[in-house]
Amino acid sequence: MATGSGAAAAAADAEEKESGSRMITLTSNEGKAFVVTEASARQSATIRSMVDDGGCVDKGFPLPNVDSKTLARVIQYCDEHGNKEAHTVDERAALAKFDKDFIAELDADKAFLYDVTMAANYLHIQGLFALTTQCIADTIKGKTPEEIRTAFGIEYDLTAQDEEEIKEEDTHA
Amino acid sequence: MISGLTEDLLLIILGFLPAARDVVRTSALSTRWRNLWTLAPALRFDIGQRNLRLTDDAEAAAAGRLVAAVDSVLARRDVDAGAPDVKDLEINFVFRSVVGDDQTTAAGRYYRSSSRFGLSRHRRRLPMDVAPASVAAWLRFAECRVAGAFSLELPALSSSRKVVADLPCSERLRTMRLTLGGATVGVPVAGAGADAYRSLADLLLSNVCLDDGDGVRLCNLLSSTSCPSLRRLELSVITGLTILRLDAAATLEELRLIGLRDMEQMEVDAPGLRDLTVKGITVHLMAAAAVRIAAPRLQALAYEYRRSWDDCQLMVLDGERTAKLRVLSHGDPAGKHNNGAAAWKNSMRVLRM
Repeated sequence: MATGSGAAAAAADAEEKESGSRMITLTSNEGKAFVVTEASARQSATIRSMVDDGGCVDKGFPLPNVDSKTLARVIQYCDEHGNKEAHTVDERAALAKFDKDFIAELDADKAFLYDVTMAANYLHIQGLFALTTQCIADTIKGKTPEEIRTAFGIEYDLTAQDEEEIKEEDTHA
Repeated sequence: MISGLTEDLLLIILGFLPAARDVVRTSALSTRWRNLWTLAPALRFDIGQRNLRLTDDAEAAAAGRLVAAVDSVLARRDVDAGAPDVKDLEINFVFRSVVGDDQTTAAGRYYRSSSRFGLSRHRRRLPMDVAPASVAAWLRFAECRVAGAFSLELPALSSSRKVVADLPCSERLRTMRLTLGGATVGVPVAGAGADAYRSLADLLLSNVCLDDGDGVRLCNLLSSTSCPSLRRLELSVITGLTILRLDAAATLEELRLIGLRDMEQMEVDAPGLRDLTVKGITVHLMAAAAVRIAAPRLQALAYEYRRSWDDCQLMVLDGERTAKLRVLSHGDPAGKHNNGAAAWKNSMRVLRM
């Protein structure tokens, strides 16, 4: 039993290594092709399931909802998380630092942050999605409505009646 | 633009917010955000860290404001019958200590806060103006509107023997963690054949008082027929629980019984149990037949021993021979004060493992 599952695990490992070395082409909605390792592409659950379902890896995957600029940035994240090992403490620390710098840069350009968030959602890249949504939530945390509006560029369109209701609610909460 | 994000995405983001205050505040952003929060999947209310510079009055005022906020937000959410259920409702009135420490379990946090300042001091500091009516309303809200996780943590309440409310009983709760500051709660009757807690996988019931008869009802409610999916169960500091007769579902893997001071008889049948912790249970009342724990798949037992070895009692425990056994005396696994543990081991003549 033990040797059987061990052999199966080894076979799965070998397959993983072999498939990990394949290259996959992702195409943005502007028709620009990006060639990435399979390990990098597998960061996306959407692509992972298409590959595992025997999708035509050779033809590549068109991504009609993602533009080139966004895709390039998403791939930067996937390369870091898919191609590098994160076993040792040092490796994990390096990855954490990458995430921190990655999100800090995105945070400075909010419109781009939303594009990356939507792409991460569409492609089901769990780690990236958690990183970006948490970042947006952090911007809301502890701020006044006015500050949040400024941070996100939300236009104030509440009616006098809304304002009256909000005042009323504030006295309770 | 953030307004370009879909509603689903915005709701996920609202779910990340640590405080319900932040969630509700978004209703004042714009028309689009006006009622979005009423769909938010998670609402968390937290008294936060203890600020040592605050006077008792200021602390009480902070608690009072939080009570008002919880009442108001839940009332608004409840009124709107069309609003979806809350997936995660967390209400915490126990101050976190300023020093970062073990926050892994609600009970651990509770013990820590009450032991560091002393339980009586704790009680004096916060004459806790959480009105029983509020607690009752929150428990009812959890029963009707929470589909997922519900956690309510209260510090020691000013003592009251009056039943505050019944335990929330709902098929849709998956996790329930209640630390109720010594409040007396009622236990609903498990209907014949009805799986009242069909989805419940994780339950902590801590710092509550039970009236006569409610202990038996609690056991019925937690047994396999009405609680078929339970995986983790912790019962701690429950007054009035004299007999624990638990016929647990095979899914139950972890059982923690802590500080059940009125315990006189324990009969646990847990076919899938792997991890058992028994602490602070006054064993000197227990006769040989009073403790019987059948756990054929047990892998780890932690037993905290406090009494002198004269009081040692027999405990029947059917478990695997490979099970890891830890016996603690005075909470010290290896120290020189652990001699009581050896005595306990020797005297446990009926331990079959």
